[in-house]
Amino acid sequence: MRRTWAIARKELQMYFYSPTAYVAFAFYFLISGFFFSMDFLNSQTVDIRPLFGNFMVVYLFVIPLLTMRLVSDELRHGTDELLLTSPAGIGEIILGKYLAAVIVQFLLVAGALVYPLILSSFGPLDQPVMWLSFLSMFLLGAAMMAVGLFASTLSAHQMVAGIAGFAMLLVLWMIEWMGYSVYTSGKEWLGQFSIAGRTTNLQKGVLDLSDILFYISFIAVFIVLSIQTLERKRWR
Amino acid sequence: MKNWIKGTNAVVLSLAVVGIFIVLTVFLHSLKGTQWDLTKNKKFTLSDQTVTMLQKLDKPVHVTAFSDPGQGVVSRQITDLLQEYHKRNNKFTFEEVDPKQKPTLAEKYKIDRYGTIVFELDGQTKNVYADELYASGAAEGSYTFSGEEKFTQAVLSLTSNEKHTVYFLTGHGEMTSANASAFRSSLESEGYTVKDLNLVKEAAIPADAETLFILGPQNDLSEAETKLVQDYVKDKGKLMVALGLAKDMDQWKNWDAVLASVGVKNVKALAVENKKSLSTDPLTIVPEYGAHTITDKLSQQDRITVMPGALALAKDGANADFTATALLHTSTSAYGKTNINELLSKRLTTNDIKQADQDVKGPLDLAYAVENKDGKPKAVVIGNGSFLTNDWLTQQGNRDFVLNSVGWLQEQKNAVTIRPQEEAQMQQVVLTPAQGKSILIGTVGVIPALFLLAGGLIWWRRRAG
Repeated sequence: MRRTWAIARKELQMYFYSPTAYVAFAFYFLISGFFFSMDFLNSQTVDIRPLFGNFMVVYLFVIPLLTMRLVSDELRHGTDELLLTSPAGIGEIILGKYLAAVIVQFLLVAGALVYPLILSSFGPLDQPVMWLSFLSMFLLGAAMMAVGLFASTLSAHQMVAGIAGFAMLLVLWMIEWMGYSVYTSGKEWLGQFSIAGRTTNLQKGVLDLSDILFYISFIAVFIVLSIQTLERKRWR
Repeated sequence: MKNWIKGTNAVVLSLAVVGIFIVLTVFLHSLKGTQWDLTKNKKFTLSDQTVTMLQKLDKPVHVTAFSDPGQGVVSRQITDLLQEYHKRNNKFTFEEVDPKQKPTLAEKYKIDRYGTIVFELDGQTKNVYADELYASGAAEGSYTFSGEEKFTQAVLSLTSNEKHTVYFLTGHGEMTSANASAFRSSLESEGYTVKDLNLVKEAAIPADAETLFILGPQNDLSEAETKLVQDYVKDKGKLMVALGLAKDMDQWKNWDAVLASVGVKNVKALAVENKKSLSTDPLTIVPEYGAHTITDKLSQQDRITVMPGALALAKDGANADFTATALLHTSTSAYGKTNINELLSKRLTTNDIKQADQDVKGPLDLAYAVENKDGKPKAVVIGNGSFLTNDWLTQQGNRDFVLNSVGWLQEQKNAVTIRPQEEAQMQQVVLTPAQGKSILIGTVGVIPALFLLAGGLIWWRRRAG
């Protein structure tokens, strides 16, 4: 655990010392701010829900940017060998990196609280709906970070990792739409694996245990896959 | 060799993890009731009646909500609720459709307006209209949403095997199922089979006729037809009469006899209301409601009905076999013009409809619900037929009023009552241009710029240092 935390700290330093992360943050707040303003200025209602649909789309672009460096940078600089031969296990390394990514994700979500703060100065907000919606954003982002982390274990090139991450997220995003083109039962079956679709309950104020467990197990799957990909490099 | 085994192990392990994930997700998805509704009014906690209905549902019910994408909150509240139904039973499915995007689907269900929610089971449909789900609430700035009641009712009426056949009487200038097409399709979407009936041709009222509709007759009945209708009423038959203005109606004897057999009298006076009418036309009356199952909901929901050119009715004291309850009545300041023939023969001016000495004094009753001695519904008589025409039916609560009347006549047993949710209106804000500008600049300009500045600073310091 100590090692995991040490790696997470190192990663967080990397995040906050790298100008790329700030560009990603700026991009995130620019797009979400634009959506927020457009929505609020047009509808002129104190309604938090339309925001989240747009936020989710922003994640699709920002999260691969934030995660593409995580492992691929080590592979490119050859520092992965140092890591892989260090006393820390691969599991600890991956978990540490993921922890850092989740903390960044948490900050993104916390930063977005500025929008309900602006709204609340104009009228009361539905508090449970708002907090559950932010929880849904955090869980969705954390799941997407896990996909991004896995993508970054696949290539030594940041750009390739970023594009792979984006492509994977896009496929996971489109699962629900793919279902639409099939037939109702297909949509139903595929829909339960939709990372975006799983936010619906939380965003209307309903806390469904199966949604929470879905995100947790989804994250676990991609962490295991990331560990397996790195393990493979160790034998070579 | 060793690497090969390790590689296979990794693949197997990865596949196993993905497999477990899929199984776990499907399993968790199949669990019902693992959720907590944290909304203020518990608006996604379904009532026991709905839950029981959904548990019993064993045939697929598909719902198509035709909504305007710009409607926002309204369509969201409906789909959110439909989704809760779906969670309880996979046989209940729904989709939201923009009729502009799928015109063929809109054509198939004969959709003529946004907010039509079509419930379909085995090819049978029942429509619920979004605007009928909302009413103003008790508190200021609040509204009520009766979606659950209407949706559950819709499914129950589709799953019930009872078939109701009703007949529209023809041959005396009445509205037929063809020219009252909106009314007919409303009835059909409530599960009724609608047929036309010409008594001169058929010489009998069919055995499957549960209710005989007489909508705005223009001529009197023949003696033979009168006997048939009266016998039908004496037996198990039920009547739904909507009288329309007609020339020479003061000479009608046989229609009067039919009405008398259910204890109602046609006063033959055109109601004029100066106090409560639509768009200041004293002949387009917005009547007050009497206390009755048919009208209670409408008055609770503050839904008005509009009667263009209504005739006054009265109870027929001579008939002790039936009890007539007034459903609609005018204010005391209304009066009934008795010179109908004269009024029909010319273009009306304000002078023509002024109160005269011979006119009937208000308040006037405009509709009755008639029960027999055993308290069973027997007839609904309305002093207006025009409100059932295609143009008027969808106005205000007209459709609800007439469908409630038909439902009451048919003694619909599967009626459910679920208390509507009361919710606060979305807070509307009036932003000044300056406020709007500062929100836009703050969120799109200042916040991202701060991050860029911080990033630039770090880049510069790292380069320098």
